[in-house]
Amino acid sequence: MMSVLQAIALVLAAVLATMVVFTRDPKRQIMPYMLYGVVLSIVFALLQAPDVALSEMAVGSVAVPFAILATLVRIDHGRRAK
Amino acid sequence: MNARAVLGAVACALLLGMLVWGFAGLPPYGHYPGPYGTLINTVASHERQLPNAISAVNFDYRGADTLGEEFILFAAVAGITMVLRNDRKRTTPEPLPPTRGRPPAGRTEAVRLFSVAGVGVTIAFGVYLGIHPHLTPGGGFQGAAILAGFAALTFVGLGYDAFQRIAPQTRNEVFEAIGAGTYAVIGLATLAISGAFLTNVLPLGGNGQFFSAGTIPLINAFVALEVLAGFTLLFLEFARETRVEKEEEAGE
Repeated sequence: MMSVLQAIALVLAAVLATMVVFTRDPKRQIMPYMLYGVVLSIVFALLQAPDVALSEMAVGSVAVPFAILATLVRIDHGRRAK
Repeated sequence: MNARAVLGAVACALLLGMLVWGFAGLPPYGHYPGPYGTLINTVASHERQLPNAISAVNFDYRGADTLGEEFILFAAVAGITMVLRNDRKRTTPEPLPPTRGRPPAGRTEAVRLFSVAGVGVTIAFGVYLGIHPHLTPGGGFQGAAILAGFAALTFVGLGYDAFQRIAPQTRNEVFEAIGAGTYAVIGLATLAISGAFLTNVLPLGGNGQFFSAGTIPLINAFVALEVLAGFTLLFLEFARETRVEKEEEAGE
């Protein structure tokens, strides 16, 4: 049976996922994306998959936003001078 | 409506239909139908002397799969490194100036404090997860990925110079290669000893002991090394993208 906590976490994940999609500016998108990663790892933990939850926490809320932020800084500066 | 909108609507309707069809065929919520997980849960604890059956699957029963995943990460990091380095000249520690908007305000005390405070927690939690793959949830991948967050925190809290000092490029490249390669070497060694790839040939010890479960913690340690070095190298390469390049160096 689905517990109340699981239901809340799943609804939160759906809400944040929608927020990520409708945030069109990549720089603003990072915040909802990181929160989405955190909520998703809570969902995994509540579904008794702690291994997956930990991976999601590390990759979804640290590694990917780090790479996106650095990429945005570089894109902001346009093409490299050849 | 133009042709593109029609095509899009038809494709979406088809996809929705497939999704509904697929979801309708799923087993009920919380009911696991397959025999494999139930079987592992009953035999792993006795056969491999460990409480965390997930690690028995990852590093033993299906160790060959994990070796493949190991090299997926290795190839991904190597690929990103090659693409980013390909048209980058020597980088300087100087950050790129902002192109528009307000100038950077510098690092606030709050950011510095939380990053430095987070370093200790990150290291402790990452090491704890990384060295107990056979006993508790987590393991080499999770522990090392969290541990690599320590490198990212250093960059955020202390700046590029400190980050580059604690995460030198060559050391990460060497450790990543050693981590990935040794996994394969362990596989070949067990093949030579027992005649099957990644057989658990080491003494199993007692269930729940730190030194137990044979080759599982050993393989896990090299996975941790590879993941830690790989993620740190990834952070380093992306951090370099935010720095000013020296123009005349490495002439084209």
